[in-house]
Amino acid sequence: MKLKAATILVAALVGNAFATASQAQETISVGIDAAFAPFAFVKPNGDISGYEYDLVVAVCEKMNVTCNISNVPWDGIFASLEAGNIQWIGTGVTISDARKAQYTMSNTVYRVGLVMLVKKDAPVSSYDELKGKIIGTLASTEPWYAFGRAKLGEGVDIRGYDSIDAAVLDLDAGRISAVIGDNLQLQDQFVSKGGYKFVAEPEYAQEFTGAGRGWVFQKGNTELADKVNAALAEAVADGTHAEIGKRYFGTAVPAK
Amino acid sequence: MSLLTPYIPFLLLGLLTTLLLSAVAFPISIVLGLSVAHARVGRSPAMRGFAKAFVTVFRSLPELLVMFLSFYGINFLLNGVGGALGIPMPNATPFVAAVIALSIQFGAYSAEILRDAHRSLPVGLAEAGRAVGLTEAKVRSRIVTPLMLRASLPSLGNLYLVLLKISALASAIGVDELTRRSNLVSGAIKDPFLCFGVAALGYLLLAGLGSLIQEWVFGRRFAKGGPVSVH
Repeated sequence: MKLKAATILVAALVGNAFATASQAQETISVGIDAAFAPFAFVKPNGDISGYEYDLVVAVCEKMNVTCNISNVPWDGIFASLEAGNIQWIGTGVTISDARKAQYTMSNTVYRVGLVMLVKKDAPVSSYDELKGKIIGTLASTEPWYAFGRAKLGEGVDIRGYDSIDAAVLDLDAGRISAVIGDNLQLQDQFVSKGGYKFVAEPEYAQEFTGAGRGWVFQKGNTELADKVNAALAEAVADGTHAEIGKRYFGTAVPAK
Repeated sequence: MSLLTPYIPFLLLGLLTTLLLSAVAFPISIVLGLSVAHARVGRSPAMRGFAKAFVTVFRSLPELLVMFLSFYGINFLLNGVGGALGIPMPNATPFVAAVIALSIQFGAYSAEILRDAHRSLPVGLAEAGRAVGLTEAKVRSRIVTPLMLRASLPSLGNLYLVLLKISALASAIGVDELTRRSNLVSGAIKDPFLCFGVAALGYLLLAGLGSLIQEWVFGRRFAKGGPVSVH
């Protein structure tokens, strides 16, 4: 009797393993860090929502595949990709040569400008006035650091934070003088709510925004990257991309 | 506050996940700790060496590192083996990986606590057991282990509270527990103070409950059995 129960158990486990296996061939697992409104965030019921999420969903629809989108913390999102937990980082990351050397990247998904955020009452109206001050930004965002160095000098003290929110908290506390970030996020979260301003107009120069933001795949997974690129081009051509931009930012976001 | 209100059930689920994580990992770590503690005071030199190495390694490694190693390491191995054999392997979920990491590491901590408790036991009790003809295994399971557990109860209760708080590190590998969920809600409603404040209340609640249970067990066991006396 015990033996029979054990056999059933083993059969169930093995059967289950194969079911998972065959499913994995048809579905693509995508990881998004949904702690980043309005790009990707959770709704009260726990579902993911946001600009980047909608873009991934739209592209999955065009590709005609099932995407299993999971919420992966940013800290471990690249490790998740390398370990094979996910095949596609659906959070838009700045496309850079350093990243291309390590991963396969999609074409430009969207482009944002870089800005420095200061308190509204700060007596700062140009980058020159921030020289010698401590600046904060999101850790692991190499081009943002390069932007800071270009505007404020090579020796500028840039502190990396886990999230832009944490950096802005320190800006409020007076520990740092400005926060480097992207114009869309900072506009939506801080400037539009009052109390903050940008030091200057957004910087779109190729040397900092590079090829804009793209999606990341495992090194050599060009098969998936090609399919995603084709579907993305389709979404840009038929206006889906622009429509999703309007949904979250009130305006289309540059796709090139 | 009004922005947070719709997220309360979402956060409560996180509280439950935190509780579940510690409630699953803690008993496993005690069982592991008991086995390692017995191995350390046992007769086999190989087992003693192995137990000592286990305790030394896992007491030294940072919890976050073990968490990452457990999650990415297991899946890296599974996918590597799967790739070599040509069969896609199922992945370990973040929750399972977190339970493994916490159990192993707190197993090492509890092994030290239990070994200390073992040292404090009067040898006469085990000898009395042998004298009345109990086997070595019976002496261990009927006499030594219950006394070890009772003597280490206050320290183990303390260890549980540590585990409860360390379990927040599971947020780094994507376990949707209280800290991760507060972080997500803070990302959605942009009010980190409020979100993490609520999380802090949640941890206080769980820790308070844990202490109450500990006091209750402690009081009851001692009222029943009385302290271990040495004559």
